[in-house]
Amino acid sequence: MAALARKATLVLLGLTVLALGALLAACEEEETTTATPLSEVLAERQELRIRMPGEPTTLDPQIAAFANDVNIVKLLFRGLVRYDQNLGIVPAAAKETPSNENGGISEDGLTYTFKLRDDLVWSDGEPLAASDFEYSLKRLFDPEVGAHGYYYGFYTSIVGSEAYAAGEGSAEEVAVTAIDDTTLQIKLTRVQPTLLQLLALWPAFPVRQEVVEEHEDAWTEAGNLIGNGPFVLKEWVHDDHITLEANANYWGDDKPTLQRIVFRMIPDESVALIAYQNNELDMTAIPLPDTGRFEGNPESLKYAELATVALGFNNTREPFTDPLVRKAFRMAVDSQAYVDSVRQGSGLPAFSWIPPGMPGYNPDIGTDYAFDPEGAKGLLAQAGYPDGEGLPDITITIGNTQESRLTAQFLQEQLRTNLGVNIDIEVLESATYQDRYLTSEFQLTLVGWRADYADPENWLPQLFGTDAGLNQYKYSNPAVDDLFAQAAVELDNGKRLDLYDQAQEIIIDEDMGTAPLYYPIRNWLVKPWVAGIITTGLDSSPGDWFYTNVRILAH
Amino acid sequence: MEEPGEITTERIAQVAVGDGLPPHRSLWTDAARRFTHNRIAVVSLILVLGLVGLAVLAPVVQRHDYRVQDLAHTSEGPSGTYWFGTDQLGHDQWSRVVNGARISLSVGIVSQLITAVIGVVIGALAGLTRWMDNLLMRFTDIAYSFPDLLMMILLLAAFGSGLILFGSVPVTMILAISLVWWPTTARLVRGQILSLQQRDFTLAAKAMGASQWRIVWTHLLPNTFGPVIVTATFGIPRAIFAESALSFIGLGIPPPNPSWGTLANDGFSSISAAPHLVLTSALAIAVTMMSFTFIGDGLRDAFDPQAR
Amino acid sequence: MIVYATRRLLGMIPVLFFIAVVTFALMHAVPGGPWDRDKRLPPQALANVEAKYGLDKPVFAPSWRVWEQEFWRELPDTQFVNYITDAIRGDLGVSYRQLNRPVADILLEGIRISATLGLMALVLSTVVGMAFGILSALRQNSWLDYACVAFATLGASVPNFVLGLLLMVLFTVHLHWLPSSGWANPTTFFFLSIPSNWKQLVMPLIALSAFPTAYIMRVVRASLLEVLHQDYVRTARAKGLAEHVVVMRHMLRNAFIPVLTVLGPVAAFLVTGSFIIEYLFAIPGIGRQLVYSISARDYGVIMGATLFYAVVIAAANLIVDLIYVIVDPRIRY
Repeated sequence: MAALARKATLVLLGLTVLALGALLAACEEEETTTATPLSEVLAERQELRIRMPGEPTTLDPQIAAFANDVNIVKLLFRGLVRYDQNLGIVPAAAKETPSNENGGISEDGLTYTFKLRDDLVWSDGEPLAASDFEYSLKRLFDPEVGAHGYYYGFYTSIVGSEAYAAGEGSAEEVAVTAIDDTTLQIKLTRVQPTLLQLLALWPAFPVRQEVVEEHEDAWTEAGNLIGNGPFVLKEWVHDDHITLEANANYWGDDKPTLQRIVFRMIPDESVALIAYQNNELDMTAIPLPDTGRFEGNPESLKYAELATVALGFNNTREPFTDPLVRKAFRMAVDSQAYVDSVRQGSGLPAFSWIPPGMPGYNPDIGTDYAFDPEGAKGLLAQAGYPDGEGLPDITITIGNTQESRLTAQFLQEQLRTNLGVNIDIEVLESATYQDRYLTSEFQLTLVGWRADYADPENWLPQLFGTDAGLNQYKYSNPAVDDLFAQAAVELDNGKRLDLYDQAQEIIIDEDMGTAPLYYPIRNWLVKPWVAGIITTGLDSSPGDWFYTNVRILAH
Repeated sequence: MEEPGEITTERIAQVAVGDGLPPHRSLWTDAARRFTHNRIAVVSLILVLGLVGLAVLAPVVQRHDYRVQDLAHTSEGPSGTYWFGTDQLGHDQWSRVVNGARISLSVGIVSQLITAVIGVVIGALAGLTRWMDNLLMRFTDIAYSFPDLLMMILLLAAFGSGLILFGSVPVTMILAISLVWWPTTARLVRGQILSLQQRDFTLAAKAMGASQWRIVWTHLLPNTFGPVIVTATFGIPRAIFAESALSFIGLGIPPPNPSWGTLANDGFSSISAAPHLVLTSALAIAVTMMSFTFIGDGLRDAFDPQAR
Repeated sequence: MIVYATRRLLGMIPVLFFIAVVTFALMHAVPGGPWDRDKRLPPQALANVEAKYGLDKPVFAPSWRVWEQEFWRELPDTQFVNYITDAIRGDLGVSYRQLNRPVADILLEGIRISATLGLMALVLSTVVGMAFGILSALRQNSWLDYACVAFATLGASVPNFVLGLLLMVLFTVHLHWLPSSGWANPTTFFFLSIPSNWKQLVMPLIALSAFPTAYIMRVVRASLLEVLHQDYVRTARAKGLAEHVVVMRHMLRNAFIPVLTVLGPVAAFLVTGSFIIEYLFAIPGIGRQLVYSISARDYGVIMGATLFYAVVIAAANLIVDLIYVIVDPRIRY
């Protein structure tokens, strides 16, 4: 037995050393790709392979809500208008963007008239008419379909929409009308300066009535789905991969060069990175811990998304009812150190709530509360808690993601060392966390907000208006509500942005209703043979609004 | 949870322990003697005691407070200052591994203690009373057919895993594991009691007019302890495994408390950038797992000399 | 034996029903629901969606007034009653995570893939585990024995996500022999996929089989060593029987019984899929579905997958018990 022990241990050691050696050798095998620019010769095989974290919930534009859904939907369908690369609005299925000048928008701003292109066809070659848009937009308020989700709420300025969604009206009463085959009219109950931006989003994409009615719930499966976008759904193997192919009948001016896009669903980021290194993928996100390793790598693609991560306070829970405490907490956190050391450069310290790149961004907001431990202690003392004495127990409640765990631990340690305040971390299983968050059952939490569309309306009134649906912070300030009400109906864009700016100043500088921590930067790896990626801050995967521009170079 | 179901240890113990032993005073001393002659088991026991020692002395042997973040040295490999390197937040991995031993070992040991206590009480009652037996058998039928994982996830989702006593005893995690696993021990004890009741010494005691409770107390229960201890010994590393699997799913011990499971899981995501994280935590788990397996083997042989 | 099997099968029905009740109660009792997402649904939308999927009805019992009026005429209109009556008709409902996809489709697809992988792992771990177990018992205390014991201990000691990742680093990153992940063709029927996706199968198979192989090996080794010293083996040897006859006829047969005992749970464990392996290697199996469905509160899939688990575990135990009868003539039912 003794001999067995000794020898077995030896063998064990041997095996362990072997495994270690293999692992270390693998890790030392750093990326040695030298940036040899490929010549502008197109490859035979125009195929792009992208990692997707998981299964889309649905590909139905009127129901889609998650990043994975939208990622695919925006390739399969095209709306009346769309975003350009600077997030301006340009025509898509419409001939021109309606405006007061061209008569597309009435004087009072309540009637929108779209002239459609006359060469619109579905991916099977059948003509697409204004009535298809009418059907789809009405479907958005159908209590059995679109009015199941969050996004129909964006469009409730359309006459008759709310009543239909509530089951009180009918589709006929929704004021979206196809005047003729190429003219669509939308009537509003109140002015909505952002309507065109909203119409560029996926909920306003057209779907075909016969297809939906023939296949019912299964209409989004490959073989059934008919779209009008640059790509068609070739294959959808659930929980495994989605294959898109170029739409031979695509009517747009931006005909795709890519013949095929494969979205492979690989749940784990580290595994996806291995797949990328093994040339199974052309694009993948860099896992946060690996960011530093790929710094300066010619294959790395960095771009800012329109997003902010913040420390969310429950403004109605002690001690965060006091703006001084909220400000002290913000000032005690060294965002710069966080993005530099922990996020390894994939982020920028945040002060204002609205991130750079958004209309309405103001770099001066929030900077008074930049990292300053002494100042933070002063504010806390001023609030009546010198050195944190007298503070109630504080818990930060987070969902269980790697990123939240990191951020929460960082905050905990920062508050302990810089402010002398001990907070507990409560990590909850994802659905439990959502439940607690949505019902504002927390003192502190982490919030991330990503733009649905590039307008402050999506960043302020929907989150900080008293009783707004997404105001889980329970923030309330009548002055801010008043500014929101004015901005909502202000047709002059300059004035509108100014009103929102004033509101943001109150929310952050005066009240610190939520404490911005950092603006995440997205880090991807893209093979050198993938050319023509145009990123915007609204992308789900980099460049997805403009995959028509992407091409594969010979390699 | 990520290993073959709960039936495993029960079966191993049954296979090896056989039908139980006639009781004699030197049962324990005999077992101890046989155990100490098994060197690999003794070496393993020393290793485990060493780990327990590290866990108990964690505040002394840790070189840095496990909560302190050295932001100038994040994700660095092992060095003189940081023996096991640092993680993404600049935590000292060595101090996290030794502090993690506290939580992981307490998950393993406390959950098996609870499992053993519930299992012995209910198993003994089932072995002695008919109605309890029926109830237990129906219950275990259901418990066996129920996915462990679902039960644990739902329990942890409902109650959270945040309640940690004495800084190292994660109550809900332990209860989730014990509640799912006790039927195994109960079944084992029931089987032992049923077979022991037919043995000569029990019949003799009965014939001599010993009371029911006296028989249970002096003849039946002590004889079930051997198999129960063996089962528990195999159960400890399985509980540690279960904890690591649960933290992989995202239901582990909340930060900043380190456990080996959360460490392995955190290290997993930086496998390429900082492989020392996953290797050190996996090493801790592997050493514990192996040691307890060898101790379990040793105990089994010690309690049942015929197995050799 | 047929009577016995039938009785066992019938005995499953109340067990399944009870499991259904418990699961249903638990999953509705935990906080969070299928529509709790990052963005809170407007109250109107929540009402609409709950009405569409029948989640606005009481979970188990209707209110007393409804009960009083309607109970004697028809079954109460509650979520549980509706689920059970639909399920008996073969309708397991639709998923909320893969919106409106029939649960039955999701389960069948996941089961097919997990079962393919699991059955292969079962064969692999049984064959390898038994082979090494026999070798190491027959050559007790040789180098071969130590190597086998060391392998078994190591295989059983490393968490399988670590093992899987180590394999991937070795075979994919370092050697470039195998693709990192995926299943290549999840729609192909059971084993027909193997010719085209064997490369994807290698690593998950090893990672999944490591523990059961080690485990079976230990059991085989221990029980063979025990048999080795039994009288009947000594007698057989003394009679001058050839060594292979002794091993085959007298030892293996008896040593196989304890292995059989553990094969039931091992088979159930392997066939029902492992979340970790499926997550790591991007395999769309049933193990992943169950965990995903729990965190998405995808009620239909939780119920379906749980009941499937219960059936598989019961079936595995039944099959093992029936094989006992064949292997061990002393046992009769």
